[in-house]
Order: sequence, then structure tokens, then C-alpha cells
Amino acid sequence: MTASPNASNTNARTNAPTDGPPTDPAPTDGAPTDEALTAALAPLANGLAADDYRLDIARTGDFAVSLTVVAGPEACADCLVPQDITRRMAEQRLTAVQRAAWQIDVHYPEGH
Amino acid sequence: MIEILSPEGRVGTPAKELAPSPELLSGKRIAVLDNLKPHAGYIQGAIARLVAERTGATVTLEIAKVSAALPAEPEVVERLRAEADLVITGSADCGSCTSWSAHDTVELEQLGLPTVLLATAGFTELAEQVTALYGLPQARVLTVPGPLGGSSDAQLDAMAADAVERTLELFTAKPEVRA
Repeated sequence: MTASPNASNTNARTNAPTDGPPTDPAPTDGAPTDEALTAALAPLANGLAADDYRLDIARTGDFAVSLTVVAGPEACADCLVPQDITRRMAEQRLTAVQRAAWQIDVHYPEGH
Repeated sequence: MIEILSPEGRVGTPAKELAPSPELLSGKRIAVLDNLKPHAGYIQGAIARLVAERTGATVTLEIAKVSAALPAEPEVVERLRAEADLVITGSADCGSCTSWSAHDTVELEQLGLPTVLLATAGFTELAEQVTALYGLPQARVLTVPGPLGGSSDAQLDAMAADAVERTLELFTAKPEVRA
């Protein structure tokens, strides 16, 4: 994917468990920061991490992200959250940060 | 001055409501919907029987769907609707099975069946996210420590015993809507 001129690749790995219940990030007025994106998607990453999948987040525009799910050595092939559910959850989480027409590309491991 | 209004809006699943919760479980019929994950049917059955003993309810049906990675088949849903007043389903202890158990839970609640979704601790958050995605953030999610696979019957029985009180709360009270 070609990043837009103002895009940055966070290379964020958000599979670190978080303490406490998830909270919706406060909405922002402009394009959210990389940190805000990572925080917003942390619950999603945590769910994937429980099955030994990692979520890599690459920012491709102000309101565009590329999400890549990477299988770990203990990943269960049949256990992965359906791709559409992952995309919809990401959209829900990102829209809570900033109401916008988010472009979300989700990439799953081969065979999913 | 011209005011331009954007037709864009937030698009999401309309909010749904839980099935009405019974005040008492006495005389109610409890069903178990097993997704065939290791020991899911065992612990859900154990919880159902303990709840029944405590309340005067009856366990009337223990049924499995074909796959944890698929929604419950229409004929399974129909049997639940015909033969039960309350359902315990799950287990939510992996990504795909959590997603589809959450789907089943919301469908059953919309059919008027209060449904407790059993999740292991690592998947409670995901279960809550997915039920919210389906429009039911206040779904009745019951957390047990897990793991289920690999646990002995004695360990599963202990988890079931510890889960009875919360199961009763979930069946009889409308849980708070999560933020």
C-alpha cells in the first residue's frame, strides 16, 4: 500500500495486555495521533493476542490504516476472529476516536 | 449565508435490547448450547444443573451446534426456542468461537431467550466487543477463569460452582449497559 504524503508508519504492536476494562478514547477534532490509534485498537489487539496473533498497525493517511494480523508460533489456525468482524470492530473503535470515513485495510495470514 | 449540512452520519448496528429477565427461575426450562470446544458442554451443563438445583428450574435440553466457527443452525435455534426459557451458551475461548457464540447469544436474546454466554477470562473483552458490534453491549457474559481444555472434571466442577451466583444474577437482572 502506498502511504499518503503525510502518512506515517507507526509499526505499532498493540498486543501488550492492558489492565482494567476497555474505555472508549475521547473523540478528537482532527486526525488522531498514532498513540490514539494504538490505544483505540488495543482491545482488538488484546483479543488477537489471546490466540497468539499480533496486530501490526500502519497508518496510511489521516483517516486510513492498514492492519496486518500476524500469526505467532502458538497461533491456532481455526481460532482467528473472522476478518469482517476484525474490520468492523476496528471501524467502531476508530470512529469513536474521530468520526470520519475511515479507510481500513485488513490483512490476514495466508489461508484465512 | 448558506448552511451546508453533511448527509454523513455514523452507521452502525441499531441498538438491541435484552430479552426480558425472569424474576424467578422456578419452573423455567434451561438449555445448554454447546459449541463443542473442549469441555464447553461439560461446564455449561454443570452450571445449568447447579442453577436448576438452586432455583427449581429444570435442565431440559443440551444440544450442540456443528462447529464453533459457525453460527448455530436454524434447526438448533428452533429447538432452543421451543424447548427452553433460558440458555447457557459458549464457550468463548478463542477468537472465532467467541465471535460466533456472541452472534448466537444476540440472536437468542432477540428471540426472547435470556442467554448467558460463557467466556474464559482471556476472551471476555472480545465477547463484549463482538456482542456490542451486534448491537447488544449489555449481553450477559459470564466469565470463568479457564482454561477449559486440559482442566480436570474437578477443576471444571469448581469453576462451575463459583459461577452459579453470577449466572443467577445475569439471568434475573438486567445487567448494566457497558460504556
